[in-house]
Amino acid sequence: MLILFRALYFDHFIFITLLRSPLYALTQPMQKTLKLVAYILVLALAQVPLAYASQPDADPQSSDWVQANKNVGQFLRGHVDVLKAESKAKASTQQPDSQALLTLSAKYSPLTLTHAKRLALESRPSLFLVGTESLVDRNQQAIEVTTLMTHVEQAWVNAIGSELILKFESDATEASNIAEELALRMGKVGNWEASKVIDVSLKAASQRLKLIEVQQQTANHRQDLINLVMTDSFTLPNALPTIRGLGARSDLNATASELAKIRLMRLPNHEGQLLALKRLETTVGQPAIDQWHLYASNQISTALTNQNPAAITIDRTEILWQSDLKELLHQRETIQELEWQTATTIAKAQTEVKSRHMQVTLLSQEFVPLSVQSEEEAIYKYNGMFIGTWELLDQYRAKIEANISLVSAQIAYWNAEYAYSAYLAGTAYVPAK
Amino acid sequence: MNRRSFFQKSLIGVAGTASLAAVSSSALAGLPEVISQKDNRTQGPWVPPQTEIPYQPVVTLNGWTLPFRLNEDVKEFHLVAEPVVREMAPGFSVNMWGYNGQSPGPTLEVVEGDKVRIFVTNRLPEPTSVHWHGQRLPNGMDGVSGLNQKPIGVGKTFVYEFTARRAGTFMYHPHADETTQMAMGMMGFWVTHPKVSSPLFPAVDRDYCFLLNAYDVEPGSKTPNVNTMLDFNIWGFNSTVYPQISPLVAGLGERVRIRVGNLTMTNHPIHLHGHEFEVTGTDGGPVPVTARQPEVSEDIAVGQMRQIDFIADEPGDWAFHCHKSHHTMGAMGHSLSTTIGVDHQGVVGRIQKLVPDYMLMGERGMYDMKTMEMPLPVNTFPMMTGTGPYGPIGMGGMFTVLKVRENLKKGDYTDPGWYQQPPNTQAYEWKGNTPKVTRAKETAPAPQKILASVKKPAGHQGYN
Repeated sequence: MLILFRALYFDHFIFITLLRSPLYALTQPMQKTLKLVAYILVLALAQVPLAYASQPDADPQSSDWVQANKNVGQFLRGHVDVLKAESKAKASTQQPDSQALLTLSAKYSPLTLTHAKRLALESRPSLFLVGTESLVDRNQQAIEVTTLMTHVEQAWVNAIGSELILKFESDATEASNIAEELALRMGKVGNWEASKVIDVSLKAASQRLKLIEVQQQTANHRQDLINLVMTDSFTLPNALPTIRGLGARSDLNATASELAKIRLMRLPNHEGQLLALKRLETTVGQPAIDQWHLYASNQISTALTNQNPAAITIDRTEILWQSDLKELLHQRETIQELEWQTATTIAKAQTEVKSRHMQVTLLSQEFVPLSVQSEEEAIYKYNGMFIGTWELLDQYRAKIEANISLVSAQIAYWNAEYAYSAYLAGTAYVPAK
Repeated sequence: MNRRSFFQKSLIGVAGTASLAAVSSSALAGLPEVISQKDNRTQGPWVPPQTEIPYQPVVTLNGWTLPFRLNEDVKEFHLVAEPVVREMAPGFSVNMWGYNGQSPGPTLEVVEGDKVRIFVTNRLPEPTSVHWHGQRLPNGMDGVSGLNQKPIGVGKTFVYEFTARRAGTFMYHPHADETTQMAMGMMGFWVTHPKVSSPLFPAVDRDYCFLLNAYDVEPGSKTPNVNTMLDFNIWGFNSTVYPQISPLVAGLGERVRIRVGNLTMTNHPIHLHGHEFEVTGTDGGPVPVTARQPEVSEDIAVGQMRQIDFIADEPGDWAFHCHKSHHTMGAMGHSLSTTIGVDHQGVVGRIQKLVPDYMLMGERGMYDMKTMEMPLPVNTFPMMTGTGPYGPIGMGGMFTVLKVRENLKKGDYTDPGWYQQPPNTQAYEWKGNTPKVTRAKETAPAPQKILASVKKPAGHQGYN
């Protein structure tokens, strides 16, 4: 209710501010357009995040020129005196830190990956049922456990990563809100004209919309993890696991076909299928198999030398009387398809891991440091009055964007890594999003 | 070889200039030695050795005069067009093209009627030429490449020969890809003294000269943007900015001459505090005595030279600067918004949370910038800087100080330090009560407020 009231209050304030501004003197069609812009702002502000809502309610800016000069002139030492006044005002409105309270009350703070796995396993005792002698069942059960662990790993990483992204987006939103706040003050005192103020406001509104989306995604990821660990009494670590170099990883250098053989042996029925095939080969006998292959080869040659190679016709007049041979051919085909499918999936998963790792490396070693350097240069330029506060805040947001890209790449890397490892252990392959 | 060693060689090895040709005729058949300058310090006046001179030699602010070689009756100079790095201010060096180690190039100083021969060697990566701005000379010596001569190719040396027919103030600069080459700093001063002083050319005690320069050097970079046409950000006297520009020093009661040449792309109203001067010479020569009038500012247009004379009869430290106030500042953002009067309460701490090094500035004007010492992009000097005896001076471009002192020895150009204000001659703070401001009473009714409105066409009636 309070949030709704605050949103409505801000909506009304912004709309009235725009109507009272020099925009009022504009033509009707332009006014309509600007009203529309104002309503867009209103809609965005209706979803105002807490960061924006935490701005001081009192408007310090005066539209009276003499008073405006008096207001800024009262701070004789400028920056230092303004900061002093701000901290005095802040002390009187200090509120408890909700995040700190959450940390204190959480059972797992932070929830490590080992915690998360343990909680997920403890919540599913059926996975540890005993009493089966069947190798197939045991393999099946092992795959189920691996699948669960992979889901936990991915959900844990996604939850941490999205919280980090949310933090960055909140900072970017704060930067946009400050830019907008200053733009509104510039407009009010008469230093900026309306469209310049609106440009900054639109940018801020757009950032607030983005934040809402990220807030939703973060909440969803947390719920996904809660669903797996079956508790919500936790906080998450404030960093993703460290990513190490891939140089020592023999599995990533092994050929996909080698790894495919190992994976296939972990599948519940695969060994049985191979044995059945062996039996059929013995029953049918090699001469019959060779004869069939010769026949099939001729058929294929005839079909491909047809005048119209697109319309391949296979002569099906030869009746395959021997049902064992038919079964053998079917089984062999199934196994071969599985082998190739496994090998190609492993190759894809390996490429995915390597590629995500390269992205993380590039972002962490080049892109992010460059964005930090760029922000430092922006500060120097700001100090020399080559750029203003808005450009400085834009540069800050660019640095934030670089960091978000890095976290996104790290999330993608861990998802790829977990999916790859799980696939080698026999689960289905779920590529990183 | 630097200038000092040139002098040493001249003094040790040569008994007199007149005997130079006789002693070393084979040497004189070759190119004169290249004399180069390594730094931007103001060098004292150059007096040719063993020669009677009928003039007061010039002092180029943050520059120097190129010694000549006398070859029979011809004064020979050797200019080398080359890449140079000019220190315009401490910590701010610019990659330029210049002559003989510096930009601007050295001042060439001769006497009316002198025969001159100037060897110009091109060590630039492109062709060049030299135009002797304002001189009366044979058409083929005027230096416009393509029109008067072939360009001086890379690595080539050309020879210009003419007689300095007219006394006055001149400049030299390229006339081959001149937009680029002048934007890169290729220019120099030329002074032709009269054979004899006259009311048109009165003798002076001190004769200063300098060129006005403008460059566009992006903060953090080193090389001027040669494609900038108008929006320059570095303004200097002889490619130097305040407080690096040397002061103009004068003894009380001395007659002082200042010659200024403008090779920027805009005009400069040059203003002297505390004295009136007369413009005694322009591009075309001396101003008739009857046409001279007292001035305190003189607007120097693009491509013009001005010679101003005055009596330094007021002791003190007097500002001397371009009156376009942004020309007395260092580089700053030209699209920066004005934040004067914008209250920043409630946002400063929030910004510092995101950008810890942020500092509020500009909301009460820019005076704070005079005292702030915050890190800037590399190879940049502050927008406003320099400190005087009473606080920050806060300049950074075309600004220097005329220092008039009693008991200054003739020919002493050393900086005498800050002027000591005699008691009771300085502005002071009022310590009494400040009366309330009483505004005039309104005698007439307030005028009715008229709202301006624009009537826009409502339809297409009447349009076919």
